Amino acid sequence: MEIGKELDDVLTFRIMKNLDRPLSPHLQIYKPQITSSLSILHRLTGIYLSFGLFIIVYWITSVSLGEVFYNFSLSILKSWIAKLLYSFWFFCLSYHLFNGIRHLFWDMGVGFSHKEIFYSGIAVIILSFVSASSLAFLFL
Amino acid sequence: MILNLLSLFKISLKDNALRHWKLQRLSAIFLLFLIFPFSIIMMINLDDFSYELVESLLKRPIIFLYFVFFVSLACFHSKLGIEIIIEDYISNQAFQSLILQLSLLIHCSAVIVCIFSLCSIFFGSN
Repeated sequence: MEIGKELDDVLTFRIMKNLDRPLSPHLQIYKPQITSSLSILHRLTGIYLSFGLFIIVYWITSVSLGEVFYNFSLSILKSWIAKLLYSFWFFCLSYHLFNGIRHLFWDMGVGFSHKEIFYSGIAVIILSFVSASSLAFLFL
Repeated sequence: MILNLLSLFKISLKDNALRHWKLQRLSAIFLLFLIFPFSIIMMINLDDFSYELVESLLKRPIIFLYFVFFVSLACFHSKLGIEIIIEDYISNQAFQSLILQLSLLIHCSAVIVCIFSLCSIFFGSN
C-alpha cells in the first residue's frame, strides 16, 4: 500500500514536471507592478543587447576580411533600418546599465525600502531615456 | 558594504548556483567600466568609420587587448544571463538542455570568431 502511494507520488511529480507550466517569474499570474515590470524589462533588454553583441562581432570580423567586404558591411550597418535598431539598442544599453547598478546596490543590501525601490525605479527610467536620447543624438 | 562587495571574489567551485550568481555580478561590474572606453572608441570613429581609421585603431596593442577582453567578457555575461532566462522559462528538461547547449555554442563561436578576427587584424601585414 505504502509502495503504491510512493509510486503514485513519483508519477504525479514526473507528470507535473513535464507539463508546460509557467515558471518563475510567473508572467501570466503576477499583477504588473513597478518592481516586476522593471525586472522583466531588464531581462528583455539583456536579450536584445545579446543580439547587439553579435553586431559588434560582425563589425570586427568585417574589418579582418578586407576593405571591400568592410565597405559592403558598412552600407548595411549604416542603413536606416540599422539606425532604427541602434536607437532601440541605446535605450536597452542605458536601461540595462542603470538598472544593473540598481541591482548591484540591492545585492549589497542598499535601497530595499518600498519608497527607495519605487523612486530608484523611476530614476532608472528617466536616466535611461535621457542617456538613450543623448547617445542617439551623438551617434545617429 | 565593502565587505559584501569583497565577498563576491570568493568563488566556490562546489556551489554551482552561488558561483553563477557571483560571476554574473563580477562580469557586470567589469563591464560597467569597460563600456565607457567602447563609447570613446566609437566617438573617434564618428566621422566616417573609414576602413583605414578602424584598422589603424585595432592595430594598437591597447585597443586590441581591450576588444579581446571586452567582447569575451560581454559574451560571458550574456551567456550567464541567457542561461538564467532559459532555466526560468523553459520547463521541458530535454528542450531546456538543448537550448542551453545551443546558447553555449553560439556564445563560444562569437568569442572565437572575434578573437581570430582581431588577431588577424593585429598581426596582419596590411
